[in-house]
Amino acid sequence: MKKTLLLLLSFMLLYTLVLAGCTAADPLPNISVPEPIDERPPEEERREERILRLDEQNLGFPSVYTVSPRGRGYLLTSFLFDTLTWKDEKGIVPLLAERWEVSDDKKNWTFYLVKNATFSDGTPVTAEDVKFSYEYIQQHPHPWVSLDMVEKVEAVGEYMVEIKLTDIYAPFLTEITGNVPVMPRHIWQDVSDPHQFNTPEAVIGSGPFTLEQYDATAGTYVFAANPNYFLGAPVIDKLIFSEVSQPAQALANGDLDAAQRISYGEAMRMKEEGRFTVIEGPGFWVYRMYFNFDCPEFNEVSVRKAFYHAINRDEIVVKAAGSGAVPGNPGHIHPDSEWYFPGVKDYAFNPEKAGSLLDEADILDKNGDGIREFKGSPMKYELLVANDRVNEAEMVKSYLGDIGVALEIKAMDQQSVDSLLKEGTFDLALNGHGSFGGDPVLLARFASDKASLGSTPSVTAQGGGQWVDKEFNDLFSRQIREIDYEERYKQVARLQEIIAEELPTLTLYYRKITFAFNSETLNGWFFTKDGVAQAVPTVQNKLVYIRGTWGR
Amino acid sequence: MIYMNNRKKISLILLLIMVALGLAYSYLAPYNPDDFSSPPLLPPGGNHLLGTNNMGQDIFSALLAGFRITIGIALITSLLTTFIGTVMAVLSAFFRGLVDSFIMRLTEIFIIVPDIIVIMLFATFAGPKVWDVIVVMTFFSWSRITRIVRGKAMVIISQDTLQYTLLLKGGLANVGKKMWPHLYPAVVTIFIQQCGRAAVYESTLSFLGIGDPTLKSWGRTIKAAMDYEGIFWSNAYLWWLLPPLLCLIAFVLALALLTFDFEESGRPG
Repeated sequence: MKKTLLLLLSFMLLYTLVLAGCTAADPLPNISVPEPIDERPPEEERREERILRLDEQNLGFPSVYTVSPRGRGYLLTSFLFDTLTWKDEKGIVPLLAERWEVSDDKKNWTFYLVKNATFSDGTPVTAEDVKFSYEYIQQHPHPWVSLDMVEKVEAVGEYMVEIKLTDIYAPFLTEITGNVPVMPRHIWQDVSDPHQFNTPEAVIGSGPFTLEQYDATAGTYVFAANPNYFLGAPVIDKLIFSEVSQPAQALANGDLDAAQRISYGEAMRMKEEGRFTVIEGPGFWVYRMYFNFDCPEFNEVSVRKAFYHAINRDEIVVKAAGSGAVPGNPGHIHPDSEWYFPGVKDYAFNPEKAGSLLDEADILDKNGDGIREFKGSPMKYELLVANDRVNEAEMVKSYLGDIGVALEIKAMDQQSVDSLLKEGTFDLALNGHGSFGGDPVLLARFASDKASLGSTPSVTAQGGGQWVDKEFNDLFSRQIREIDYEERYKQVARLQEIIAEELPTLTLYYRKITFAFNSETLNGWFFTKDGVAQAVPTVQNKLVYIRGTWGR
Repeated sequence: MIYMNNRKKISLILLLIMVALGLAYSYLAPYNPDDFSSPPLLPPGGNHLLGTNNMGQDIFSALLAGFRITIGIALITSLLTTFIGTVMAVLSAFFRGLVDSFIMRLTEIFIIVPDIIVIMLFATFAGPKVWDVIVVMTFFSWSRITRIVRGKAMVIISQDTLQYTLLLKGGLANVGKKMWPHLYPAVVTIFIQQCGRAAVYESTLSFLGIGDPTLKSWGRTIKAAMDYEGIFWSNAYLWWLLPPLLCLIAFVLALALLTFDFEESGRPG
C-alpha cells in the first residue's frame, strides 16, 4: 500500500518536473478589477464596463526610463505619455502639437501645442514641459531617442515651442518629435536618477490611459482610460496586458480578447476557423546574423560572402520560421519599404561557390579534420541565439558545417542575448528586432562614425569592433540632411548597394506580423505606416483606442 | 541479501534494454537526427517510422538518440554526483571537528544560493558543450547527497565495529571500507534518484545557455514539440510528443522501482 503510494507520488513528482522543465503552464494571473467610478455625465447611457485583455511580455515599470528598451516597452509608455507628433496608417499626424512650421533652411521648427491637454494630475501641458522634456533627455541619455541634432528648445509662448537644429535632419518629425515623450516638468525636474524613478508619480503623463496597476512579478499591466484625454476619452475603460504562454489558446478559451504574440501558423489556422478576425501586416522585424568584427577573419569580406552563399534563406523561412517570413534582402531594407532598392547584388544559395570563395582567400582545411583554418587557427565559433529561435541556429550550424566552419550553439534568454551583443561578447550571433521600417535612418546602425546624426534604438546596437566603410559613413550623413525625396532615394539605394557588397550583417528574413482579435470587443485595429513610433511593427498604436469602435 | 522479485526483474530488464538501445543507437537510427532535409511534418510512414518534425527531421532517429544522450548524461552525472557527495560525507564523519563544519557550511551555501542565478552567471562564461551540463548538474547536486549520507555515516561510525577499527588506529581507507556495506543501500537509492532528476534537469539547462540546445535528448524533443504551436491542432503530438515522454517516464519509473527494492533490502531485520 505504502509502496503504491510512493510510486504514485514519484510519478506525480516526475510529471511536475517534466512540466517545469518543458513549458511553464502559467495560468492567467487573477486580476481583480475594482468597480469603475462613473465620472461620465448622467445623460450618457450607463453601459457595461469595456475591458480589453491582451497578451504582452513583462517589459518593466512603464515609465520613460524604467521600461524595457525594446520597442514594445516604449509603446507601453506611449499609453501614458504623448509626443508632439504621432503616426497612423497613412503617416504623420498631429498629437500634442496641433500644427507646425519649418524655416526655409529646414533647421528651425515651430510647434503650436493644443490648449486642452492636461497631465493626469490635472496640470495643463505647456511649452515649458516640452522644452523641459527635450532638455531632460539631452542630459539623461534615453535608449530610444538621441537628440544630438537639437541645438536649442525655446518656449516662445505658453503653447508655442521652437526647436532649433544644428543641421538639417530629414526624419525629424518621425524619429524625434514622434518619439520624445512630453513629461510633466513639475514632477521630473527633481528627478536625478530616472532609471530608479518608479513611483506612481513617474507614470503621470498626458496620454489616453493612466496606470492603475503594474505587477512586477506577474508582469501584468492594468491601464485605465483617461476620461479627460484631449482627443476624447478612449472607447474602452480598461486595458489589461498579461504574460500568457499560449496566447492563441488563451484567445480561443476567452481569456484574452486579442492576441499579439502568435505565430504565423497559428494565425493562419485561426483565419481558416473564422472565429476571430486575423489581420496581417508588413513585417518590419528583421532576423539577421551579427559578426564580431574583433575577430580578424570576420573582417575578410570573402568570409562574410561565403557564409551568405552557404545559408539557404528560403529553407530557413519554411522550416524554422514556419513560412511566416520573407527571405532577407542582402541590401537589408525590407522589400515592402518605399526606400527598397531591388538592384543590389544577390547571394543565391550555393555551397560550392561559398567553398570556392574561402578556397580563393586561402582559407583551407590543411590538417584534414573537416574544419578550415584561418591563419592557422581552426574556424570554430560560438553562435549566440535567443532560446526561442534555436531552430534557425541549428540550420545555420548545419549550412556552415557543410563549408567547413564549425559552430557551437549557445542559447540564452533574449535579455542576455541583447546585452551580450551590446557588450560585443560573442563571435557570431543570430538576433532579431523591430525598429526596422520607415525612414532609412535605421541604417545608422551600420554607420561607424559619431558624425552621423541621430541613432537607432540601443537594442539594435552591437558592441565590440565595428565594420567601417568611409563611403557609407559619408553618404549616410549626407542623405540624412537631404530633403528632396528623389535625391535621397538615390543615396539610400547606394547605401543598400554598399551593404549588399560588404555584408556587415547577413539579413536572413523579415517576419510577417499577425494579430488576432475577437470582433465582439474592440474593432478598428490598423498597422501604422512604417511601424508605430520608431518603427515598432505591431498594432499597439494608442490611436486605435480612441478611434476604434466597440462590438460588431 | 538482496532478493529478486518480479517487479525488480522487469525494471532491471527494461533498463538494460534501454542502455543497450543507447549503445547500439548509431546502428539502429535510420537517419542522422540533425538532418533537416526531409519535408516537414510528415505523418508516420514507411520512410519515417514516427514522421518528421517541423524542421523535417526524423523523429524516430531523435527518439533513439535520446536513449544514448539522456541515459548517458543521467548515468554519468549521477555517478559523479553520488561519488563526490559520498566522499564528502565520509570525510565529514571521519574527521569531524573543523573538517566537518567546513563541509557542512559549504553544503549550506549550496542549498541556500538559488542555483538558477549561479547557472545564468556560469552560462556567460561556459561554452555550449555537453560536459558543461554534467559539470553544472554535479556542482549543484552533490551537497544534497552529502547532507543525507553524512547523517547515516555519523550513526554508522558510532557503532561498535567502526569504533573498534578507529581504536586500532584504522585510517580513512580502512574505515571507509568498513562503512561501505552499511552505506551501500542508501547510496544506491540516491544514485538512482539522481538519475531521474538529471534526465529532467538536462533539458532545462540548455535553455539557460548551458549545453548544446540542438542535442536530441528526450527532454529537448519534448520541449521542441511543446513549442511547436500546432502540436495539438493535429495528431502530431501522438508521434512527436508522446513517444519521448513515455520513454522518459519509463526510464524514471524503472529506476524508481529499483529504488524501492533497495530501500527494502537495506532495512534491518
